[in-house]
Amino acid sequence: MSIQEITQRIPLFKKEWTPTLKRLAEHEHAPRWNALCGDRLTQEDLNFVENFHNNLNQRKGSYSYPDHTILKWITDLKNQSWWFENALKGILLEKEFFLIPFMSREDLQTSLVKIVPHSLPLTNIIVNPTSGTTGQPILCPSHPKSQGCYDPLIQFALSKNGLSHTFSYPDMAAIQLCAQQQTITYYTVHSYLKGAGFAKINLNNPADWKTPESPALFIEDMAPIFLSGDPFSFYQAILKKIPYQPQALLSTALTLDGFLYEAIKKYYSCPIINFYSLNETGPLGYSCPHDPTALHLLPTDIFIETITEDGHPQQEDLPGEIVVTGGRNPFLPLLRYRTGDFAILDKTPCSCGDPQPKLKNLQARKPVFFLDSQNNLINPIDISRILKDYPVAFHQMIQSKNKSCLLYLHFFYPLSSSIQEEIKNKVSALFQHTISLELAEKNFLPGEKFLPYINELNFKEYLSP
Amino acid sequence: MKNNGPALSVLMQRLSALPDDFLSPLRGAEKKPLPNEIDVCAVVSDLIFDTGGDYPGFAQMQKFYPDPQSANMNYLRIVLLICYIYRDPAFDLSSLNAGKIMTFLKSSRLEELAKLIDFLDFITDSERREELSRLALFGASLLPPGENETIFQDRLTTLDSIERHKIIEKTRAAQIRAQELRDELARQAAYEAASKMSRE
Repeated sequence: MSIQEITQRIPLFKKEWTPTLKRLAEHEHAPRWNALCGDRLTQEDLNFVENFHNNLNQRKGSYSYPDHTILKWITDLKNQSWWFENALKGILLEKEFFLIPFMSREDLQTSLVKIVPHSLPLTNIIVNPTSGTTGQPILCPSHPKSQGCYDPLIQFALSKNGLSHTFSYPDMAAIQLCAQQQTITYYTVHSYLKGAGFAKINLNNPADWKTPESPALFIEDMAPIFLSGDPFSFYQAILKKIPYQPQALLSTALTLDGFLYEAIKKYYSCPIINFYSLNETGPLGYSCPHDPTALHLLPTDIFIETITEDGHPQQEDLPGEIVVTGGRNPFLPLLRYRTGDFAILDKTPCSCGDPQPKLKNLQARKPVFFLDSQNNLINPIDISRILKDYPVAFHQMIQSKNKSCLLYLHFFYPLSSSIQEEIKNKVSALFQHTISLELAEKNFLPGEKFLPYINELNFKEYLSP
Repeated sequence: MKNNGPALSVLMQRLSALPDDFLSPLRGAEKKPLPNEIDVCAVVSDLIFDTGGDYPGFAQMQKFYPDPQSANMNYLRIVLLICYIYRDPAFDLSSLNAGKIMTFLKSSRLEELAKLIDFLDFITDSERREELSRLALFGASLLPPGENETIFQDRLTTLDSIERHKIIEKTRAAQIRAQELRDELARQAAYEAASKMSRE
């Protein structure tokens, strides 16, 4: 990166951090970097992140009703957001929080202008599209300062699970492993971590790498303190026999349990931290060090509740849909946002000492992968990526036990058969054209709940590290 | 419409002197009632009974339970205000038609009104107090003294128009903002976002 490119993306960059960037850029076995990225934090943003970090340690034990900070936040937004103004009509906030109407994923798609504060300047807005692997993609507006808060949240989760490290230059804080046909890859340093390095790499694109051994050599030499990724990418690292042992694994994006958890736990001798986070909400939970199957609520600036199917507060010992209020994203204030994920909200005291409630039996985004005829894993993110370029409103892909696939598509408007054939070819190419793939049009109802990816195969029969 | 309704000034005064009790929380459908909660169903039922109707059954009263999924809290608060208006001693309850009252309380007109105006405005704003008082008279098919139907409807339409004009202005502002947001999101989607160490 040129100095201009650096300071544009890392406004608080310090010259003394240059060797880390140089090392990442020029490493003999570095991947082909295809993007430039930085934290985009200004000093004001960094102050915000540091203040957020301080508040993280003020854990909240009482959780039956939003506390005064959340209520004040909601009240302030009544005059700033049309959504809040409408939703709060007729509501006495001190007592009737649980009667506020819900916000849904569909509302983020169709009513975003009502939610985003109407007078907030849109400078510094950044866009995080959702992956589209668990629902239709949404463009989530965000701000560098809310993204910047990921670092203290991650540090907190790591420290609770035994990794207490004060990150700074010349540390390589982390490498994020991806395993997709295609994704952005970049290297950077984080200002909040005082110049510690970070890189995002893709294990599944051979064209990114000098040699097949390069990913392992690069990771080994950079020696990141922790690896982040999703269960799929960690599993790919195992299949590729990448030997590097970090001090922790931060597993995100998908629920890590069962067969994959056991395989990863067997291979890596470090703590594995399940990290529950949504694009819309940011990080929500981290796995309890005493019970990795449970996730403590991570931030202190949100209120979490669970509800029944008809929208009433769920009993504490029963699973309910997770609903989120609050957050630190000025462009996406959430008011009783229904996540579509389910869990039991456990408010009982925990032996680990964190008083914040836990989510147990989380039914969130389970990894769904597909297989080609050679049992190579296909990541559904790559399918979503293809479909994003077409006027597809909804989609559902099902792989049956004989590996044949059926891709249902709901188009915004009729598409010619040649365009549909083009979609089919692109998706089939992910499978090296080795499995049967059929396309069919289907009308999904707005608001209809369905899984975009379903696989009827039993993976244990096909995979072994 | 009959020309023997109460004076508007009386009803507007009543609204402006709304007791604090009416700002208590509303009782939810599946909860045990707490002492300081208002049961909208009970308030409506009692009014219907006192105007000569039978106590409505559960099916008839479904609409008057708070339901976050249908965002009806503001509507219920407005229903409560109208019931409160009808309880003014200036109304002769025995001469009101229970069926008409029930139809009015369940009308889409009140639901639409609730989408536009916060119930508190009907207490604090004099034009909104007049609007709600007139609507209460309309719901009971009554006219205030000194007005015929034409004058009454004209004034109601004017009050409605003032509000609608504000809504139109707000809608215009929303359209401009929506375009601005779409443009900026489209522009930013072409650039990389900020670096973060986890993914979703």
